[in-house]
Amino acid sequence: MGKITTLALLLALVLAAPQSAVAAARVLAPPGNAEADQYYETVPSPTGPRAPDTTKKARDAVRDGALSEAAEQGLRHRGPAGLALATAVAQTALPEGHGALSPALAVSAPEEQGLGDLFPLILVAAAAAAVAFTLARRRGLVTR
Amino acid sequence: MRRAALVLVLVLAGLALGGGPAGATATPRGLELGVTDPALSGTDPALREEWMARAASARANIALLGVNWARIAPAHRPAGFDAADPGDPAYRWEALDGAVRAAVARGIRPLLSIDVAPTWAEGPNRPSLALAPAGTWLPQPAELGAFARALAARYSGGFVDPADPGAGALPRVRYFQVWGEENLSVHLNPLWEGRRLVAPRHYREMLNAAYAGIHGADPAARVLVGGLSPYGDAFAGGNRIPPVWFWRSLLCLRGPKLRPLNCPEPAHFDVAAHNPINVSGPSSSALSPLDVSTPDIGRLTAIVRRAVATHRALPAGPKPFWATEIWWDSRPPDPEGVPLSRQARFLAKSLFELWRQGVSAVVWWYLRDQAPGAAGFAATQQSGIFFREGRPKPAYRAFRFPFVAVRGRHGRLLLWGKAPTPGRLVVERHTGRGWVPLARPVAGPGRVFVTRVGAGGRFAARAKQGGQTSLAWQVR
Repeated sequence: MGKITTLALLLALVLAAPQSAVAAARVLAPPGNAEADQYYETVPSPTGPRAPDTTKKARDAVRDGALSEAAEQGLRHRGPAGLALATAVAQTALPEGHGALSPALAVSAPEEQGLGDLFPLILVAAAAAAVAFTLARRRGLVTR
Repeated sequence: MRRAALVLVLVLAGLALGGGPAGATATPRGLELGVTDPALSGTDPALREEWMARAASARANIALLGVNWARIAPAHRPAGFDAADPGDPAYRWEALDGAVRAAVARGIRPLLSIDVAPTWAEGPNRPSLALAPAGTWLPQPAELGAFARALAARYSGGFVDPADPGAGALPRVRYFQVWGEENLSVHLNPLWEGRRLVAPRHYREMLNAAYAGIHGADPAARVLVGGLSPYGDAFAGGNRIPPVWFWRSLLCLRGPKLRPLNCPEPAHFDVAAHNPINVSGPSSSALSPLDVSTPDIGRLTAIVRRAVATHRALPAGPKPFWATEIWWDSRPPDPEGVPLSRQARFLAKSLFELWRQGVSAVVWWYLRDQAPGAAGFAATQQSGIFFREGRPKPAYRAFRFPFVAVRGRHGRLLLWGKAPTPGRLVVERHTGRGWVPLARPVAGPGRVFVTRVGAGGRFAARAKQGGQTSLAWQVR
């Protein structure tokens, strides 16, 4: 049972790591050109590239508590890059009562990209296989 | 045999970086320095002359002059209009003629950068201006080719100056750039159709049409690809295509391994260009491998070299690389800009970083600070090497006589700069006894000098030639 517990803990840690990193995603603008929204740099995240969503839905999400009102206003005054950062924070915050990644993090890119939502699925599948293998060995279904 | 070739390449690279004994110099590659500014190509002749004179005083070799196609061409295509004829009366060339004359008269080479299609030269099914700014919707390659031909013919050195027929021909222009930042939706549309990247293919048609038009008028002219913006959105449907994706698609190469794709109409250009603007300092790489900032030019040169080798970039032969836009805003006047001394240091360091990567020309945006807009300083550029009223910033001295001292891995100091003239100069270090000589490098024909010396500790260094002195560089 100890091995299964260890595996479960490791799995939880691995799944939690990308989300905390995503929460730190941010955009950088050249000094003095916060309004020049064509020149900002989006910091890549472990879940791959994604759009800074500036739709009303995303803006509303910002108001739903991911940022304090003062922090949100502060970012809005930084121009499009600030708005993009505010919405990125909103998108990457975990929905209340949910343990899964937000659908807003879905990835679409034509060539090389992060594994996106596939990444945790692969981890879950690998961990499940390891657990199944351990249990099978204990029950004598698998021999060396 | 392969090992011997590798050793030879390493030795040559070492020599190019001045890897000889202390004070020794090779003959380094040159570096052309350019500036751009709305004042240089504007309609006010007095302002144009005043600022072109300042560009010359800064020792700019190149003036990037914006060629707004929509302003030069008629708003509505008149009957009988011959778009390829530089003398067609519907064209309005006066401001550009004046800018070209002013630059050439001061020994500055114009680089004419075409942008913004007239309405009648845009493609079908145009969406609203909110979705695609004016002049960006599918500029028609055939129309662009005709305009490019007229432009190159007007400045081929054989077109009589209409303002002063007795004085002879308008000056010759050698460099033409086809569009700019065409990886951004503020300059070219559409970028995507669903999940399919479409802008590079359309741009390739534009580039090839312009190339044919320009070379048809002047076979010795040189055509630059439009410099791309350094940062993109790495997802389908974004408003900014990452430059690495754009270049691969433009040159019919696929994925990180640059596998050649079928390419019935390869891109034609003479000079590759990029805009390696940086959100941080000049040594900071873009975080995404698909983006290309100041120290990341190698991400593009690898693509271009592969394209040349696989005949997907024509004509065959090496393509020089130019950096056609780089800048940092300064404080003052922009409260969010970098301090004046740091702007000057970033300028000199970026020139070195780009030269080190094989770039042969760099254009600084702008010559003059822009006025703050309605939204304040953040929406306009205060990246001038001059304040708005004409007072030079420290960046002016850094542009005029760039000098950097960079500590290498083994503690040796690499001294690099561009001297006022070819020939010997002295690099000094500051000690308790004042300034004492540290090295005596020789600037090559392109005025660039590079040498390595052994010098430990922290101190200030500067370069001197004749009565002219660079800014001091703090060695750490």
